[in-house]
Amino acid sequence: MFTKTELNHLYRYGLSLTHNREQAFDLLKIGLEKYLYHIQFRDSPLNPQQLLCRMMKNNFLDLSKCQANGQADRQEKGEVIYLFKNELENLLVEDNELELILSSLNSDEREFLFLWGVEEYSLEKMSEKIRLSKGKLLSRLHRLKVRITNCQYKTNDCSKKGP
Amino acid sequence: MKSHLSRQLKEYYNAHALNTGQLEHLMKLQRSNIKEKKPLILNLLPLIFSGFLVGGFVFIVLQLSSTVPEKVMTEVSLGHRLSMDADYKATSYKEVQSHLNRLQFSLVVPEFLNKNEWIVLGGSYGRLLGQVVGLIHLKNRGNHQHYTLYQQPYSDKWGNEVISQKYYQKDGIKIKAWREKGMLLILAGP
Repeated sequence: MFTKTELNHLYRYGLSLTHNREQAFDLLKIGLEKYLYHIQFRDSPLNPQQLLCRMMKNNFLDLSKCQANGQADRQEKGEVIYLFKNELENLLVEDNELELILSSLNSDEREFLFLWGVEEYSLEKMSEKIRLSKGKLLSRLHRLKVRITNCQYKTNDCSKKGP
Repeated sequence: MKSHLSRQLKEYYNAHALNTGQLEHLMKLQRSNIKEKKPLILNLLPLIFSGFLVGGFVFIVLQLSSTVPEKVMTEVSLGHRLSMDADYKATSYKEVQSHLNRLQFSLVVPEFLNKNEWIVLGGSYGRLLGQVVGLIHLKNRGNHQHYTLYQQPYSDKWGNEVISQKYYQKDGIKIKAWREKGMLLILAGP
């Protein structure tokens, strides 16, 4: 059984995907229902939180696919760019800018930021969780930095949300 | 005022939490599920119990419908049809007794059957409700039909029920049971 702290943690993960409080709650609720159904017929998983996170993510992707009607939120398959994580860590943003920045990002990017900034995952762990190679992750990291920087200087760009 | 992105992210997400109602809803969801979650054997328990109940009921019904007289008559009628020929040819009860020397009891000459009307053809070993019985093969002088006479020491466990009726008709075989000289006698024939 998940504690209240764990539920809140999972809710924040949901929020990183949806960037919407109600949708994050719905995502958690549906995920929890699926999880409870799942463990009825199987042994309890070694890492329940991780399993529920994966269920939430899958559910979110299913919903996104439906909403986008096939126009999935896909990252470009760019070449691997050599980039140190420090670049993101040294990035400074205005206090009131974060909400706008998050709004301008797509779910993959927000999830990436959540895992990096809040969960403090290493590149290896993030690669394992998101199931992307380190190269692709670094590529995503670079694009993310570019988008955040652009967003900081071109406020108008922030209104262009990812699907 | 500028600060690190990671710090802002932490503050931003930590500022968001489920409200009391949402938390309660999710906790309740988990509690109700835990109550429902039982080991497989417990889930099957009602089914197993029902199976035993139905099985027990069927057993009792079968037992009641298959009373002692019913079982005896079924065996006698079948035995009569299967052993029409005697294993040992004989012309008297005494001679039959000498052939069936493994019987733990002595055969009796029934007064119920008039000596002048019946001819002894021979004897055989038989079984009735798991017990060894003596079979005497007879022929009726009047209708020239073959009959089988079962003899076994009388026992309270089923004798009263068997002899309570005058005649039984089972699978086309007419059966008469009576008690005589401490023996249970059952005559089966056409």
